[in-house]
Amino acid sequence: MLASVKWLEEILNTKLDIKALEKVANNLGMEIGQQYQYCPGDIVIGRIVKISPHPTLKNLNILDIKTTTHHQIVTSAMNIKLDDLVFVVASGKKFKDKIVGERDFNGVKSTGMLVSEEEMGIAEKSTGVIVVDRGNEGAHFKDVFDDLVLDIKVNTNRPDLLSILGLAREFSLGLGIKFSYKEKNPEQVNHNDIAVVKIKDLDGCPRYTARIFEDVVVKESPFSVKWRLSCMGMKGINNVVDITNINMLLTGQPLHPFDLDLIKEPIIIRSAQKNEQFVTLEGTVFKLDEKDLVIADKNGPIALAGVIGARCSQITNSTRRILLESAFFNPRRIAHTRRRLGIQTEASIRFERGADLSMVDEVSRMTGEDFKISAGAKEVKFISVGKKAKPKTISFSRNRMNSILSLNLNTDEIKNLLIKSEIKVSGKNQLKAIIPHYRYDLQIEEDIYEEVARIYGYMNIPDVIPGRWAITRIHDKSRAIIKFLKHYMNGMGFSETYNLSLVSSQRLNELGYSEFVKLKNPLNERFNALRPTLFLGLLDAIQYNHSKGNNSLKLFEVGNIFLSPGFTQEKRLGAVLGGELYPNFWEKADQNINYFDAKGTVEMLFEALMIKNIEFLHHQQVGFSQAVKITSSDKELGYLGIIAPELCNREFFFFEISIDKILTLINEPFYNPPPKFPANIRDIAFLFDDNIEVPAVKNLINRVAGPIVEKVILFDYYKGKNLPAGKKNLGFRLYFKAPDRTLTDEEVDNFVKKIINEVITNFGATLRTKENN
Amino acid sequence: MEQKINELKSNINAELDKIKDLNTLEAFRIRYLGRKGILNELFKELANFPLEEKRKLGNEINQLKSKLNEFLNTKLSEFNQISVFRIDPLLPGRTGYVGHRHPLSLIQDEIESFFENLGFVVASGPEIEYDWYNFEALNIPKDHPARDNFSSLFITDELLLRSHTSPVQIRVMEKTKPPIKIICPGRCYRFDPFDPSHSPVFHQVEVLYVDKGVSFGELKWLLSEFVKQIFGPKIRYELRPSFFPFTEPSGELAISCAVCQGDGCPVCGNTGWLEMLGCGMVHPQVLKNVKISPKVYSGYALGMGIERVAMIKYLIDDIRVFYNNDMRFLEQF
Repeated sequence: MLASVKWLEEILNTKLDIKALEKVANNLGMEIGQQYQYCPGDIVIGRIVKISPHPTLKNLNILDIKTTTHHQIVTSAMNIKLDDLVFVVASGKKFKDKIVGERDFNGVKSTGMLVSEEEMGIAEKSTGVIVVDRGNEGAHFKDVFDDLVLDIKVNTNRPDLLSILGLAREFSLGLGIKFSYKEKNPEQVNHNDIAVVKIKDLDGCPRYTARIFEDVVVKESPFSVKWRLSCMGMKGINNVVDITNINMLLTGQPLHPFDLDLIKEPIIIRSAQKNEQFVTLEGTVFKLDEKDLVIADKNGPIALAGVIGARCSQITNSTRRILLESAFFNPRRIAHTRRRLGIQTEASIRFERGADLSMVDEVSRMTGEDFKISAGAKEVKFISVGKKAKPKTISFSRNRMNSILSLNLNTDEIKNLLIKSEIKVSGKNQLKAIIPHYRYDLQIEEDIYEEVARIYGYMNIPDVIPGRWAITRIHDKSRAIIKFLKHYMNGMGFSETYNLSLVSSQRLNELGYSEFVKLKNPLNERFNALRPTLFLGLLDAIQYNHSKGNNSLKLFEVGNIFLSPGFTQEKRLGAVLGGELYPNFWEKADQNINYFDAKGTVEMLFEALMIKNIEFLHHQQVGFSQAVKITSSDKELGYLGIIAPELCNREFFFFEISIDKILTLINEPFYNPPPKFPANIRDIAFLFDDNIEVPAVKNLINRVAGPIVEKVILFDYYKGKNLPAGKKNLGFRLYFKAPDRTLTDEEVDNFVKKIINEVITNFGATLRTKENN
Repeated sequence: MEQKINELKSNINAELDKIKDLNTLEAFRIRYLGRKGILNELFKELANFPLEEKRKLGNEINQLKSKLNEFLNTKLSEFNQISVFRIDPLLPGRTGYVGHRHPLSLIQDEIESFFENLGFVVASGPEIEYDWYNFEALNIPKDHPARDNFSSLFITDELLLRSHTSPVQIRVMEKTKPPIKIICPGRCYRFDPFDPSHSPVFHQVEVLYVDKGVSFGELKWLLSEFVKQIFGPKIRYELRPSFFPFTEPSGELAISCAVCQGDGCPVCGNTGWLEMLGCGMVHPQVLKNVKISPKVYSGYALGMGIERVAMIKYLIDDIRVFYNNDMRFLEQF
């Protein structure tokens, strides 16, 4: 809400100190944000004492203008007459940071300028100069009009603060000054006339009043009105509309004038029909639905209730008869329409937060008075129908209030606090509060607590150390695992990243994802889907760092991904690595991180988590030149791969593991006594065809030997020189062990023989060496 | 005997040249000076000589012995020195990668441990949320103007990306009987552009305590301890009235601007204060919505943005740096 300090000062009848105002605002739950000072230059009010035509140039007049001295100014403005007051900037003085110069019009000197509305910034175009309706000759602009405008943030539950009167009232509470502005708030009386007004939707419109005027003269508003509207962020339109706007800003009650000659009475307040059309003042066409509320005549809607008027009934210069609407509309219905159609107006902002039902008739009356004075209007009729405002009371318990607020106030203290907000309290323990008509926000007992705390001062409430202990039982073992994983990855040299979970569906399509969660109302194409993988974010992180010259990277992220059927989320660990193995070492061995560093990281991770039986299987993944699936007893846990060169021009590796899935594989550790008998270790090397894969051989060895082989390790792999083409040498180290005795060499020899035979027959391998360690 | 000694001396001279390292030196020492070494053997032989000769020869052997000892010591320290100085011990070591924590992770941990130490338990909920949990149950019905403060990203009419972590409150309260003392950190989403002061994805921490007799003063105490813990004991703060549909009374905590110390600067919009978090006593309607009687129980709740805390604490002026993952940024944490 923009607030003119000058206007507030007029209402409060005192000068305001902005620093003090800021403090008070904070303490009461408002915030003063931007402050605007409106003073475009060194402007003085002058009176035109003589007008004479320029001797040689047509359409120019020479003016003699009196301020404290006389100025001769040549002008083309035609909207002025003798004795008019105008704004003068004398030559040599500043206007909008520029010095105004002296000009010569065919031998006639002009020693200053007159200011137009366009130059003042209150109109887009103007033909004449401003004729001033306030102040005296010689007075400075800054003393009469200059204004400081505050942008005040008010809470959405306080519609009363969307008005100058409400703000003035609230500031007076905070500053401890008397609010002497006497608002009339007479009791509401209904004057029915169904030939003029009919409410068909009482839910949408609890109260409607129409005040009818004749002989209205529609013209431009005087400068002071336009200036005030401009300071308050609105534009001057004509005297009628401007008066309704000024009164809305003053009281918070939105008003709407209709040209009565352009509508067919009676006007009906009803819900819109499905797909009914509505054309706004600006000419935009909307399709309505049944929850929208309209003001209509026989021919259709003449206003979208509480939001915006229709073009067909607006006030123009030829308007003679006016119907002035002042009403109370259901906030929910206004909010619905405003949100659905996306039209926010000064009226809708106030109605959807809740206007003051009790002020509907009074503001209409005030506005009528203004119409009479400024538009020569004659009031002919007043119709008021619907619900009347009733005084509101809230009862509340003193003890409960004290216990919730950590206070110990007696009834008198509570009364004295609340009366500052014009809330009258009666009773002893169970208290009754009479709520002032403008406080729409006070609805329940707890609202009164807040009001007490607010006036008492939040910072004056004591800090209380709680004297009880409480335990909530939530067992979530994932947290410990996630913490462990993060620390583990840090320890392995990976830095943690955070990536946006919103990604582009086009990129996902390119990566072969066809099913993923799409947004209904995306911000833009870049963020229109939810990530089904952590890969894109980490890929972006690689690219961002490469562009900054960081080529060696180990990065990870722990985060949720989303799966399309069922809209489920899954927690995953993703990591990328690539570049030099020891990027900071002086002894350059040209060693780069390779696939086996990546795979080793994964293997160690599972070992650290004590998860056994991890298997890697061949896998195809779009975006990767080679990849393997990470599985455990046929359950897919994730994958690991070499990022395709099209996506990353350096060799980088990526792996992703589902944390939710590995959680099910983690068991509490259990104790096994360390073995008492030493292992018998044997090395066996074979020559294999190149297509034979290590896991297959290992599996066979384990199957043949059974539990007597504790582990099998590949200790040698060789391919190339000295070996026939298409062949490779694999050396396995076997650990033989029995839990209850030391194995004899003979026993082991037998197993080794069996293993060798099986490997040879199953894989067509040739034995190369056999060694006892 | 004398001849034997002379022979020995020339043998020794010849062998001395062959000593190249600690191993050969040690072998040499054992051979000549060891307990059963040649020199000791000579001493034993001396026993059979007459006293005069014994003394003379003994002297000679002793001299030889001390000469050898001296030689050995020199050689020994020479070899030892070589072995130490063969590498340059001041060259940098072979370091691999050092993993850094993300600042948002650090702040979240710091916040979590503060509350965990006070007996709060960490709870979590889904990021794709029902309208009921995100709004309705929190006393924000459809067409409530407060929904505008939570401009949301929707998936279907009823499913959206949660715009705050408050829905976790509801999820826990639905399933758990009071006392409920939880902290819920998590990722949230808003219909916001990705610019220096906005991000469509951000993180919040929600704190909730529902029990018999929970009061506003207790919330105030908690807040004062919390800001001191996170920003240091000298921080100035103010609790101000505010409005949230799910709390009543509601408050907002502002702390003195970390950049200008409260004098006013562009960071704090010249106010000298930075808004830190929203809080309040749980609205009775919210308790009713989860079938907890507001007549028996009361509670407080507070919520804050993790990015905001990190930006204030580390004086970061562009929220996007958290998501660029520039190593030069990550390395600072």
